[in-house]
Amino acid sequence: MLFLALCFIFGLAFGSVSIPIGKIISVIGGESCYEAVIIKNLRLPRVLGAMFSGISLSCAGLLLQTVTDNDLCSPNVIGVNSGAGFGVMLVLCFAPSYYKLLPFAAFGGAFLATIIALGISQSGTNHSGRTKLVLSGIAVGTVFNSAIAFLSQKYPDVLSSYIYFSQGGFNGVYMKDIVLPIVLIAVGTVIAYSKCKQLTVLCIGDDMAVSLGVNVSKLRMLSLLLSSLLCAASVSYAGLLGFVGLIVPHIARRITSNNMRFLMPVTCIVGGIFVILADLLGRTLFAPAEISAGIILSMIGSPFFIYLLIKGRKRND
Amino acid sequence: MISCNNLTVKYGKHMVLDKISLNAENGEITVLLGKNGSGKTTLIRTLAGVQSKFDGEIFIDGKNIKQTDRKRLSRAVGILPQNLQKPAITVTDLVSMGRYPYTDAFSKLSAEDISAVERSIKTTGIEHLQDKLVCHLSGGERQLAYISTVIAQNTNNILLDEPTASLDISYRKQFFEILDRQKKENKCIVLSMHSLEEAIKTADKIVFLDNKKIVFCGNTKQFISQRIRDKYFNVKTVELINSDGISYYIFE
Repeated sequence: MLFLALCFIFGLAFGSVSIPIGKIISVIGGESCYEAVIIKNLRLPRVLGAMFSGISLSCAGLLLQTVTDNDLCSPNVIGVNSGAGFGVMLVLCFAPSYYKLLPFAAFGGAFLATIIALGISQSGTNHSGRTKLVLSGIAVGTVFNSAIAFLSQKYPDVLSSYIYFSQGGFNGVYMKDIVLPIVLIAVGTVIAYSKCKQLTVLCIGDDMAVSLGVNVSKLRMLSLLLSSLLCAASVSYAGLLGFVGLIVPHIARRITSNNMRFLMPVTCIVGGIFVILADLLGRTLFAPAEISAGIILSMIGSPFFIYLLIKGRKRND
Repeated sequence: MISCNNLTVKYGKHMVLDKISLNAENGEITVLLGKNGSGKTTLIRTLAGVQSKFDGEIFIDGKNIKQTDRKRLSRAVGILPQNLQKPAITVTDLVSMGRYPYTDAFSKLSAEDISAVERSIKTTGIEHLQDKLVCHLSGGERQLAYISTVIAQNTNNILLDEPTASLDISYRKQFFEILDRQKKENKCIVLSMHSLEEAIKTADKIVFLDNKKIVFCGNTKQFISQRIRDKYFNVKTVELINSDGISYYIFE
């Protein structure tokens, strides 16, 4: 928690213009100067946005990995991000002036992708459930990605916005963009935390969990909807940030036990730190030029994903 | 006490159990026998309330499970499934999950819960494994840890799906001692197994399933005298009686 607070202050302090920490404290104390404008108008929304984006995506990843019992599951893998992206793309193409619709469109798209994936996984006589959900999620994600690509070709005017959106980042994020998503993320995370005990019991298998009184299908459905909500809230202002939902729960598992009561808060804190640092790196590595946080995250995330695959294979061998 | 009337289970169009009726009493061990695919696992899952889609009626301690809420049911019947997960949690944490039906969403384990967990760990003789991760245990150790979880659940009815499948001889002996203690506590125990020798040694009642139906339900003597195993598995049963008059059975 302390480290998250430190990262938050570093996020406010560093960028193309460095601001001494003493000055930040004075600005918080109410001093008005040109640094106050930078902090309040530019850096604070950006760092807050990054922190909540990290919290939401990592929490969504943890929920998905738990309910699918699949270490490689994340919002990206099961198509939630693609669905959210499709919703945003629809607004960009057909109602660009209604930017306030973005969070709702993102949630609608994410929700739609989740429902379709869930529907496919429950269809047919062979309800093999969790694996089928991941596979159907991949298929649904591919369909939405194709739809996004189609729209970007059909409406080339939005192509630059789409490219920026698909890379994910916090440049140009203002307070008005993040208030509603932050509220949604806070609500979603609190609801997810209230289900910690049930989610922990899920690790011993569906049959025993049911026998212990957990309504597994309801819990799975709720977790999927919550992960849609959390992802959509983040996607609406930060675009498609990859790998956070995949990597962060694994890092958190190395820090604390698998008991969700500890694992979920640690995952959220690590997620917040992770994205703030990615954004900070993107701002400072080649300052005054910026690399979007999404690119930094992908550069770290891809090797980590490969590491997980190799490690998984060795364990299976 | 567990009973069911005309229990029918289908997976899609595929019928798995066809109008099954049985009674399992308190203080008795009921053993389910049958070929692979005869429906033993489905019957156990359905009786435990895990398989919720079925026709017919199931009563746990006289209450219809369709009219019993999940939390209440979880205090009445516990199940040990055939396939056990390997979570990265300690054995103590695993056994503590057995107390889930008695706690609220945020409440910690009460002194009574902790005592039940400790008692259960002691009953199954796995004190030395308490701090080990379940994913690091051998098959037999894991089985005992999960049995301990079911015992910590403290239900009147216990359903075990092939509980001896991954146990070696010493663990089997330990398991049957645990089972005997549970029986003496007047619990209703239903388990499926493949070993006929162990079934005859353990069971008060044997239920034989074949082709989705119960083809035999009775005590061990009736089971042997009616040569059910001989009929369905095409093996010959030989009875040997020692000088003390105790019968032993060899299955050729």
